Amino acid sequence: MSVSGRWYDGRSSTPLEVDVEMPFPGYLVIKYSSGERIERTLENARLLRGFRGQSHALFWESSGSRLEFRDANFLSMIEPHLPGRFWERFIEVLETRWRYVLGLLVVSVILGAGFFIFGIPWIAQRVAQRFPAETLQYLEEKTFEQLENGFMEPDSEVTAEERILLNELMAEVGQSGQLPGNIDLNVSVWTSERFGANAIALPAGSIIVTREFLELSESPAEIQAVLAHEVAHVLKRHGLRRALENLGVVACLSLMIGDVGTMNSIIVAIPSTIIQSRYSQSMEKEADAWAVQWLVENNKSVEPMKAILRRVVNSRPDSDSIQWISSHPALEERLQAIEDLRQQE
Amino acid sequence: MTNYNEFGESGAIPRPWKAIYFRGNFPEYFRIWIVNTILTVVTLGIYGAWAKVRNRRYIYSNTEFAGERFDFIADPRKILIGNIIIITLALAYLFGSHVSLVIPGLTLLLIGILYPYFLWKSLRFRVRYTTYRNIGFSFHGSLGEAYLLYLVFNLLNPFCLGLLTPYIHFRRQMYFYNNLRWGDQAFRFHGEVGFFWKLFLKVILLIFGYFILMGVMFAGMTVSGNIGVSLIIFILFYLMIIAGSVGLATYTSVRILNYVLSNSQLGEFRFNPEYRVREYFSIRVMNTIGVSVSLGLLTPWAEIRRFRYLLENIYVQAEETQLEAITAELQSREGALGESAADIFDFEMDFGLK
Repeated sequence: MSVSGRWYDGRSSTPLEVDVEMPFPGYLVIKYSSGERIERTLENARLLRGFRGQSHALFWESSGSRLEFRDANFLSMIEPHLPGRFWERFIEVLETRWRYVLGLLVVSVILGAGFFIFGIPWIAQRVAQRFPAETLQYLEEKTFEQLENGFMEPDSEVTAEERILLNELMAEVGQSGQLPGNIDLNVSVWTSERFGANAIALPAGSIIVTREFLELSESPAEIQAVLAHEVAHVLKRHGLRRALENLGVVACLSLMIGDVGTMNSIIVAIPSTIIQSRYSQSMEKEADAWAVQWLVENNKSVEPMKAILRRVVNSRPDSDSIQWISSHPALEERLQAIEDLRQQE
Repeated sequence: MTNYNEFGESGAIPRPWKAIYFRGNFPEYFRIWIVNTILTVVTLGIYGAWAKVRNRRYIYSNTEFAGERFDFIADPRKILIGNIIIITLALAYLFGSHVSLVIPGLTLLLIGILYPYFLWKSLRFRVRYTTYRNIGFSFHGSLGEAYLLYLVFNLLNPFCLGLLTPYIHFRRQMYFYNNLRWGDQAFRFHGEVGFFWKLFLKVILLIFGYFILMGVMFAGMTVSGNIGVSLIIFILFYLMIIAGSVGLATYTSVRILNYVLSNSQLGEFRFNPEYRVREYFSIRVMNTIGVSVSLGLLTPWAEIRRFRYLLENIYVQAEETQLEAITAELQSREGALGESAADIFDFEMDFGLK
C-alpha cells in the first residue's frame, strides 16, 4: 500500500510531494517524484496526530524532517510501531465524543462543588487543629491590637459584681470536662458603638462581651448561653479555620478564573464573599449545637438562649441585610435548629 | 538599513498583503480543553504539561497563513520537569515555615533571583518548538539582558518614581523582536522610545480622569444611606474597576502591538496590524464576564475569541516564492540538540500579546 504525502527535509520551507509505503513493519520508504528514495524507521519518529480534519505528521527530531499525510488507513497501519499510542488514542476518543465530554463535565462540576462545600472546610478544620497553641496566642494578640484600633475599648465602668458573675458563669462552662487543658478561658467587658450588643471569641480563649450586650440580657442564664456559644468557637478553632478557609477559597477561585489576567483579585471577590459567608454560617450552627448540648447536659433550659438570640438580632440596625452574604444564619432558622437539637439531645 | 517609501515597499514591485486565518472553533476546543483540565486535576497536575502542549498545539495548528499551518511540537516531558521545579519552590514557600521560619523568605528571594532566568528559558523553549512550514523559530537574546530588563530595571524603577516604565517597555520589545528569528530570517524592530513616552503620559492622564469620574459618581450617590443604594454603589464600583483596568490594559497593549508590529519586519516580510482598541476591549470585557460567571468553564471560548481577533487582524506582506525559500538555521539546530535537555521551562508570558 502506497499513500501520498508531503515531505519537509528539515532544511527547507518547501514541501515535496511524495509517495510513502511501509514495505515491512516499522520501516518507511519515501519516494520523491524524481525517483529519489529516502528510508526512515518509525522507532525514533514522533507522531503529531492531526486534530479533526487536519493532516497527521511524523516528525524525526534528529534530522528535523517531517512527513505529512491524511490517509487514516495508513495511520492505523503505522500506529502499532509508534510509542505512546494507547494514551493518545484514549484521549482522542474522550475529546471527540460529546457524551464523554458532558459526562466528564458533570463529574467535574459535582467534584468541584463538593470540594468547595465539604473539601475546603474539612481540610481547614484538620489543618487548624494541627496549628501549635503559640499561633493562636499570636493571632489573639493581633486581633486585640486591631480591635483597640478604633473598633472598641475596654469598659472602664465594669463593677466587681459583674466581673465575679461573668467569671462564675464562664468557669461553669469551662469545667464541663470537654475542654483541653491548654485553653485559657477568660471573659472581659468592652464597649463598642460599632459592634453594638455582641460577644466575640478570640482564638486563644479570650471572650469579649460588650456593655451593650450586658444591658440587653435579662438573666445570667442568657449570658451563660452566649458564653457557651463563644466557647465553642474557641474550642473548634473557628477563627483560625475561617482564615484558612478564606485563603483556600481565594486561592482556588483565582486558579479557576486566573486566565483572565490581572483582574482576578477583584473578580474573585464577589463569589468568594458568598462562599465565605456560607462557611461562616455553618460555624455558627456548629457553635449553637455545642452550646445546646452543653445546656442539655447540665440540665439547663434552652429558652434563655433563644430569648437572648432573638433580642440581640432584633437590636441590630442592619437586621434586614441580605441573607446570602450574611455571616450568621437567619434568626428563625437558627431558633428552629436550636429547638430541634434540644429534642435530639 | 533599507529605506522604505510610504507604501512600505523596498523595491519597485509591490507585494500582496496576506491575511492569517484562524480555523479553530469553540465546540472543538472546549472538548479538548475540558478533557485536558479534568485529566490535569485527576493526575494532581502531572498531566498539566501534556495539557499545555495539546491546548497550544490546537491553537497553532489551526493558524493558517498562505495555505500552511503553524505547529507546536514540544515534548511535554520537558515541561513536566520544569513544572516539578516550580511546584517544589511553591511548596517550599507555602509550607517551609513548618521546618524553619527562614525558608519562605529564602524561597521568595530565590524565585525573585531566578525569575529572569525562567523567563528567558521559557521564551527560548516556546519559540523553538513553534514551527511554520517545518521551519522553527528561535530566540537569541542573552541571559544578561534578561536580568537587566526583568530584574535590575524593576529594582531601579521605584527609585525613579516609575519614570523608567516607558523606557523599560521599549527595551523589552527590542529585546524580544530583535532577537527573534524564523529559520535564516531575522526579525527587526526599528521603532523609537518616544512613542512609549507619549503613550505613558496618555495613560497617566486617562487614569487621572477615570479616578475623578469615579469620585464624582461616588460623591453623588452616597447622599442616600439606605442599604439598597449602597449595594448598587458597590456593584457599580465593582464593574467600573473591572472595566477601567481591562480598558487600560487593552488600550496599552493594542497601541503597543500596532506600533511595534508596523515598525517591524521579518527578513523582507512586513506587517500591517489593524487592531482597534474598541473592538479588542469589547472582546476582553465579554471574555472576562463569561469566564467569571461560568467560574472558568468558558475559558476556551474566551481564548478562541481572543486568538481569532489577534490573528485575523494582522496582514503580512509576503509572496509564496519567498516563503518557500527559507532554510532552517543549521547552526542553531545543532546547538538546540545539545541544549534541549536544559530547556524545561514554559511560562505564559506577556510580550504585549495579551
